[in-house]
Order: sequence, then C-alpha cells, then structure tokens
Amino acid sequence: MNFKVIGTEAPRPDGREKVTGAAVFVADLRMPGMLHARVLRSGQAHARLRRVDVSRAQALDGVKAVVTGARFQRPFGICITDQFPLARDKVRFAGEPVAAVIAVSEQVADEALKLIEVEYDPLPVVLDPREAIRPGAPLLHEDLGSYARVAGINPCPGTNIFHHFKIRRGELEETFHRADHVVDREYEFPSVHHVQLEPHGAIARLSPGGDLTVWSSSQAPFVVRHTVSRLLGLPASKVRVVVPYVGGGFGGKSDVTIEPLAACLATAVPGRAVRLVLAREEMFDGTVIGRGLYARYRTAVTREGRIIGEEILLTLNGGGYGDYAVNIVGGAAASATGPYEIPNLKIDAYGLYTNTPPTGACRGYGHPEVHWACERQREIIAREMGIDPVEFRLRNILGPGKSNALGQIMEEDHGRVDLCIRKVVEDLAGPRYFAGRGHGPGGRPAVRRGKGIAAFMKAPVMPTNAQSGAIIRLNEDGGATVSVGAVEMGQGTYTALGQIAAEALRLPVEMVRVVPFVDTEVSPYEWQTVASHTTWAVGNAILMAAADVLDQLKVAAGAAFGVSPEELEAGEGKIFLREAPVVSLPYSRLALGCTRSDGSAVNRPVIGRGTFVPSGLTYPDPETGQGNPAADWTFGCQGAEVEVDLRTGEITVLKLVTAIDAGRIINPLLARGQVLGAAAQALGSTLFEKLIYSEAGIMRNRSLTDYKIPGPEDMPLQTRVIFVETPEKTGPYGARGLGEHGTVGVPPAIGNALANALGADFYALPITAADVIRALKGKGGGLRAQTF
Amino acid sequence: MLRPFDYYRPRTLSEAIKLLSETGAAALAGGTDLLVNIRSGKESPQVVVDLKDLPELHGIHLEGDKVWLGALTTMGEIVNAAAFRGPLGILSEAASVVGCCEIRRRATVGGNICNASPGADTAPALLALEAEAAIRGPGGARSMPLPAFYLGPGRTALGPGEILSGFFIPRPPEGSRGTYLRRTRVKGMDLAGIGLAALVIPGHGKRNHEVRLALGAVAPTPVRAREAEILLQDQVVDALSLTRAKEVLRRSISPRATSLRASPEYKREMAGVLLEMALSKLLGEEYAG
Repeated sequence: MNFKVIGTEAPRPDGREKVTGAAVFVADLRMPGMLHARVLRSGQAHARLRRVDVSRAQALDGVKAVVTGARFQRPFGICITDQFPLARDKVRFAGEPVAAVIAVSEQVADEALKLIEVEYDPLPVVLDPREAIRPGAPLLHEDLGSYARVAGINPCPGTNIFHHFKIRRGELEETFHRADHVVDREYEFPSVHHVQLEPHGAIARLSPGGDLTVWSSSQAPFVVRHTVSRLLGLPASKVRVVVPYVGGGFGGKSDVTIEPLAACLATAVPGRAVRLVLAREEMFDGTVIGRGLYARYRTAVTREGRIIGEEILLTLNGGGYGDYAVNIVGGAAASATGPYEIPNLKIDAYGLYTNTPPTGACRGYGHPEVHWACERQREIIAREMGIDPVEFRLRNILGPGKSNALGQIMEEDHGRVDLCIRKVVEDLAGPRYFAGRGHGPGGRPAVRRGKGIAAFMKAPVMPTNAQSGAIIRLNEDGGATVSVGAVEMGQGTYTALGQIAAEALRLPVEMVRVVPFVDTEVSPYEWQTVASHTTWAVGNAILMAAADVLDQLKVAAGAAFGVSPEELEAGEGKIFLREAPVVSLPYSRLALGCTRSDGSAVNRPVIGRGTFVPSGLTYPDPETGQGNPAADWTFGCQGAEVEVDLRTGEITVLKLVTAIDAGRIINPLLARGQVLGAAAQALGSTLFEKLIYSEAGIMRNRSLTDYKIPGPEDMPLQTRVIFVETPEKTGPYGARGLGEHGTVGVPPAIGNALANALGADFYALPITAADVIRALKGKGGGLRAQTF
Repeated sequence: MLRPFDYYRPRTLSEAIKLLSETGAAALAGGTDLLVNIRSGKESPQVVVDLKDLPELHGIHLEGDKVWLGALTTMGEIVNAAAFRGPLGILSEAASVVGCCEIRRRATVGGNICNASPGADTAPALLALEAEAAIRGPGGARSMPLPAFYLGPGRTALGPGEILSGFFIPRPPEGSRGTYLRRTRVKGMDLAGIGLAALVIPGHGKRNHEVRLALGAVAPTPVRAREAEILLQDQVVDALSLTRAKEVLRRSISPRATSLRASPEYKREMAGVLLEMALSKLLGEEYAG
C-alpha cells in the first residue's frame, strides 16, 4: 500500500500549546463560586473508626461543609464493590480518606482539617502479600463474600484473597519427573508509583436541576460516569464527565481514583463547584500505586534445552481495596511464561488485600512484573545448562502455529519475536556479547561491563466487549472534525488518530482536527484510554466512520452527477468519476449539503460514524484459564549494556535497545518517544524505585525528595528503537499497540546484564549500589543477591 | 499549601536583627529550604525576614590572608567564582552538585549551613577548609569555627536575632588540593547519601603535611574526621596507611539506621571507598586498598 499520511512524522497538534504552557489541565480550571476541598487521610494503616468528630471544623469561618463516611452508604468498585468514597467503619490503608472539608479556600480547608478529631482502634497490619495469604493473617474485608462483583472474579471469602486465577495445561507432575534439569527461584517486583507530572484533580458540581458535572484528570471518563451515576443514583445521561488534556496517566488515572469522592462532595454543597486537586505527597498514598508482585518459578527443562513444564505462583499485593488490581492478576498470569511455548503449565495467581494503598493499573499491567521473573529465570536456566541464552530462548520461542499459556494459537500476523531477539543481539554487537563474565574496559580495573537481553510479549488486558466509537463531521471547507472518547495524556493519541483519519478520508493531515478533549455528553463512547489499545481500537472505529463519510459523499456526488456511487472515487479531498477524473466535486461543496443550479438541495450534511468492538473474545475457563481473552499480542525484545563501579557499586546503563513488532507504525517519531519513555520509566523501577513503609504501614517516601525517579543524567547515552513491522490483520493499516511495551523487558535485560557483568544474580528490584556491594562481598542472601 | 505570614525585606542589618529577635520570625535567604518547610507545615513562621538587601551578607573578597564569603552567595556564584578555583576549589565542587541548575541559582551557602542538615553538601568542604562562621546579632559581631556552629540536626548556635553573615576562609598553602565526592541514589538531583571532602596540603617529597577530611550525612552534624586525619598526617600515603585510615574512618562515623538515602552498612563502606577515591584523585595514584 502506498500511504500518504501513515508512517509520516506528522507534528503534534498540541505541541505548541504544551511547550508554551498554554495548554489547560483540570488544575487550571476555575468555576464561578468554586469551593475547595481538602481530605483528612487516615494515619493508621488498619483500624476501626471509633469516632470522627467534625464539630470544631464545621464551626470554622469559611468552612461550607465537612463530610464523613456516615453520609455516603453506597459502596463502589470497578470489579468488586469493596470501597466507599470516605471510610465508614474501618480504614484499610494509611492515606485512606476519613473526612473532607469544603471551604472557600484550600487554606481554610487545611486549617479545618486540623480541627477534626478521629479516634481509631488499631488492628494488626499486614503489608506483604505472602503473609496476607497465610491462614490467620489479619483479615481486611470480613464481608468479602457478600460484595457484588463482575463476572470472572474468584474471591475466597474468609481470607484476603480477592481473586484467584488459574491456568492448567497438560500434566505437570509427570513432566517434572522426566525433566533433566529443574530450576526453582523466587523474584520480587516491589510496589512503585507512577509519578505523573500532573496531580490528580477533579472539579464536581451538582446543578440545581440535579445534573452532575465532573471535570477530571481521568483516563477513563466513561468509567467515571458509570461509577458516579451508580454511586449517586443518577441516570448516566445526567452525569457529565469532561476531561481536558491529562498530564500523564500511566494507568494511575484509569478507572476511578478521586472522582467518586469529588462527586459525593459536590452533593454536600449543591450548586457550587468543588475543586479537589491532590498535593504531590497525596498522589503517593491517596490514589493507586503500581506493581507489587512476588513470583515463584519452577521450571522443568530437557537436556536439549526445551522447557517442558513450568509451575508458577504469583502473589500480587492488591492493597486495601481490589480496585483494578483484580484484572492484573489474570493479565500477569496470561503472560507469565513470556513469549515461549510451554506445553505443561500450572499457574496460580492470587490478588491479596494488604494494608497498603490500593494497587491499580501501571504501564505494562502485570507484564513487567512477570517478565522480571521469567526472563531472569530463562537466563539462569541457560547458564546452568551451559546453553547460549539467545539460542535457549530461540529453541523455546513462541511463533506461528504454537500456542501460548491461554491456548491461543499464534498466527503469522501476530509478529516476529524471533526477529526482535536477533535484531537486539545484533545491535548490542556481537561476538563478545555472551562471553561469560564481564570485563573492565581498558585500564579501568575497578569497572565491569556486561550485556543482557530479555524478550517479551504483551496483550491488552480488557473486557471482552471493550467498545470504541468515532464521529467524523465534515466541515464546509472540506476538512474534518473527528470526535473520539479517547484521552490525550501526552502519548500523542490525537496525532496518531488524526493521521489514521486523514489517510482514510484522503485528506492532508492539516485538514483533520481531532477534538482535543472528551466530554461524555458529546463524545462517542470509549471503554477507556488504557492497555495500549487506542490506536488499534479507536483507529478501527475511525476507519469505519471515514468509510461512512466517503459513502455519503459518493451518494451525494452520484446524485449531483447523475451517476451511480460505484462509479466514483475519493482522492485529494475530491469525489471524482473513475473514468473521467476531471469530473469532480470537492468535499467542501458536499460537506454541508450540495445544491443544484436551481437551488435545490442534493444532500444532507455529512456526518460519519464508526463503532468497534473486538470480535470473538471470550472469558477464560475458570478452571484451566484456557480461552480467548487477549485480542492481540505485541512481541519484542530489549537489551542493555551496563557498567558497574566495583568500588561504589554504582550502576550505569550505557545502552538500551528495544526491538518491537508493533505492526505498522503510524507515526515513527511518536512511536519512538513512547517506547523510549516507557523504557526510561522501567529503568527507574529497575534501579531506584520502591515504596517503603514503616512497620505500622505508613509510607515513608511519599515525596520526590525520597522517591527518586530517573532524570536525564540517568538515561543511557545510547538508546535505540528498532521497529519490526509485521502488519496486524485486525489493526488499522496493520497497527498494533506499543504504548506500554517499552517497560516490559527493561528490568530483566538490566538484571541479566548485571549478572553477566558481576557473576551475581539479583532477584529483587530495585537493584541499588548497596545491593551490588553486598553481592560482591558475598553478603547476598534471600531475594537480594547471590553470586554464582 | 503556603500559610500566610508577614514579609519584611529590611535594608539595614540593625533592622533585620530587630525583626529576627521576635519569636516566630524566620530568616529567608534563597528560600529553597524555608519555603519547602512552610509548605509542608514543618515550619510556620509568622514573620519572614528576607535578608537579600543586606550588603554585609554579600560578596567574595580577600581580607588579609582569608577569603570572605558572604552568606548570601548562591551556589551558582560559588561555582563561577575565580576565588574558588585552585586550593579553594573544593567548595565550588561541592556547590556544583547541590540540587539542580534552578536551585543553584537561588540556594545560598549561608542557607545551606543554617539549615543544619547533616548532609549539606557545602558543609564538609567548609569544614575541611576550616572556615569560620561570622555572626551579627543584638550583641554585635562574633565568630566561631564551623564545628561549634553546628549543634545538631537543624540546630545551630545562632541566638535570637542573630544572623550568619558569612565565612572567613583561611587560604590553604599553594599546592593544596581538595575534592568533594558523594554518593547519591540517582545520578541527577538528589541529596547526598554520604559526602566526603578531602584537602591535601603537600609537605616535603611525597609526604603530605596534612590531610583534612570531613564527612556529611554520617552523623547528626557534618563532621571532621580527625582520627583518620592523624593517621595520614606527615605520611606518605601508601596501601598500609590508607587501609588503616579507611578502617578508622569507617569506625568513627555514626550513621542513622533509618535513612532512606543509604543504609548505615553502605555508608560505612563508602566512607572508606570515597576516602580512597579522593586520595587517588588528589595524589594521582591508584591504591590497591
């Protein structure tokens, strides 16, 4: 196919606004008569609420309302309805909202918070999911069995397990009997935070007529609408959710976070807008956190280096409420093998309630967590068996005709993970690549270098009926305005979707505008902007809407020319006669109703619509996990070269390479940016990031002073992104998702590079300089490190 | 959330001293600590006294055999000052790693010392240079060696109404060289997990007349490491003396167990490593250590 717009580096329409600071985010909005809310958060990680006395706060000048959990009795929850906007009988994590003050200013609200008296009866605290799963562990949700939940969720009442997901394939016991080699290891990916640049914000107003509007920094305006309408007992049509630009989401603004609370607060002061914008510190313990997985892998391998069976136990920290961690459990299990065919499998994935803030979606959604384990495990197996790690991977690699852990048979168009591996190895250069122990570059004995790779795969984890829509209105100048329900949160989605629309409409990209906000009252429905599925799903909806537009144009032009629509073609903003292209009408004449010479109208305004739902997805079987829940797979491989200072333990990542088969690339510049941004984020969780709690469950590093993320100085001097473009048959112009994928392989690639450099295996992230020193001194142990 | 306060910007030292004598008054220099503390509620002054218009607190110049460094000199100005190259370069090296570029344009050396953080980057450098703190207050002018200025984490010898006006820094003999090395969690902006300043004053031949060492973030205040210094004084630094000095240095520090920036175990290890790295940098030799 010859593309005019697809594959070009079209500039971002939002670029200038954002670079100059003119772009408007929720925190910038001001409403007439707007009030300000501040939240009193629990200082206890697990306790019964004995008394919340707000009388002194209420009496303070400027305070309009003080609300507590007593006011709101309906629970909510995306998968399990297990939480309230404000704690009622119990608090389950430090940071949970206990009361909120609405006042004329944030400052008055802050003063009033100090006047609220709360009495707690402390309960035993459990922070580690491996402890929370044990019988006799402190129980967080006594009523788990009675909670409403969506299909496919499998809680175990009377325990902290809110979801148990199983995969069973083949015969495991017999497989381990005939194995020539068995490798058994445990890995840890700690809880992290997304550290979005923009704080979570919501402004809510209940109109005198009973309509509720929420302006929000959400990735999921339609989920917010659904949740809020149910919470307040309003029809969905009376809840309007508006999302302007979002300053970074990474999953931490998906589903719902602070919006149910903001909506409830608005009902306390009808007619007045209430603004709730979190401080940086509150983002850490007042929204959702990410990751938090322990993984135990036991692998059976033959002498020939074939993986014949694997037993995997995944224990996910869910925090105080199930939130969206529920589906991470299944997503992590589905990808736990990595991109390999393993005929015999037993995978148990548990989501556990603990007394940390709830775990939500986080760029990669379970995949970086399990790949940290499985790709370290692959490296260790290869080393123990004396097989080249690249060769070992390729011997077991998933490809056309082979089946993954879910029993899905891979096809040609799913892409080429083998090619991605080869490209990364080639780029990391060659012969010295796996020469065993690391070496110091000339004359620097205090330094060791090493290289490592990790292959990966990822599917969007989503409901089987995740829906997307697009509306295209043709304007009088022949250009098009495209409305979608997807949120622009920095990833450049409106640029990519604009390119898809322009290509499909045969228009120059400048003639297409994607509406730069979502308003549930006018925007077409969208499940939510997550799972790297927007280009794929919304792109498909746009293709259908564009086809609808072209059909309408051809019918109109056919009527004007007196020919049948089949004789017409569209190109360069015109409809023309195939046999005689000079006979043509520009879109501009047809867009809003073409008229004949006598003034009579030929056609109606052109508005195209397109809707998309993935076809053929089914729930996995509850006993075996087999089924077709994953719509498409994106494969790739990442490689790292590291340098370690043996004196200080300082780790420097010299090079990061990613090869990804993301199908057809719509905009190479944005695509590279997405992959690199993801890799940088994952580099942070590999080397620096971990949420630290006191024994009582209080988060100790809830600020950017003590929760360090990588800066420019930490980025490798060399970064490379290689696109392998096997077109996806279900994707618009062959595109597949790539927004999260750059996070998936970085931790194990660096971990493997460190193992090769130092002769030491690290099992827990982050790997710090102190860990390196301990390992070099042979003081490892547990999950921290072991020398080999 | 910034709580309201009265803001004064006095033009004379006596006015500033008067304002700061009141309870609930806080001195503002660059504000990179004070404003953060007010926002977080750690400090809630009723009166903020901005010192930036006081001429006595500015400037870098020679006074006899000492360099005068005004308390309001910013980190950026120190980095660019000709006075802080050569023997005094240790201070500009320390100032160059404070915060980020934007912070270095505001943060002052006086503020860095008055904040009395155990990990202040300029403190080990000033300790190694044996700087004296110059103080102005209701009782007139006084000065004291920097170690006496530090009373504990966040606590200094400044009394009510007293202002740290600057430092007198004796110029080390020509040929002296210093360096400041530290360990941080990330390579970019971060607070020191441990910092070490070393100043070598040459003697005859390979013998060093004096090696001065000071550390940050290893004790309640930044500290000189006199015990380790003695082992290196009037010595040729060799593998043996270095090993002994490293051992003494490791033992002499008392890091806090709960630091989020570095564990006591790592700090002890690094105290020795940074010493060795500093000496090999300053003496141009690698030690097997």
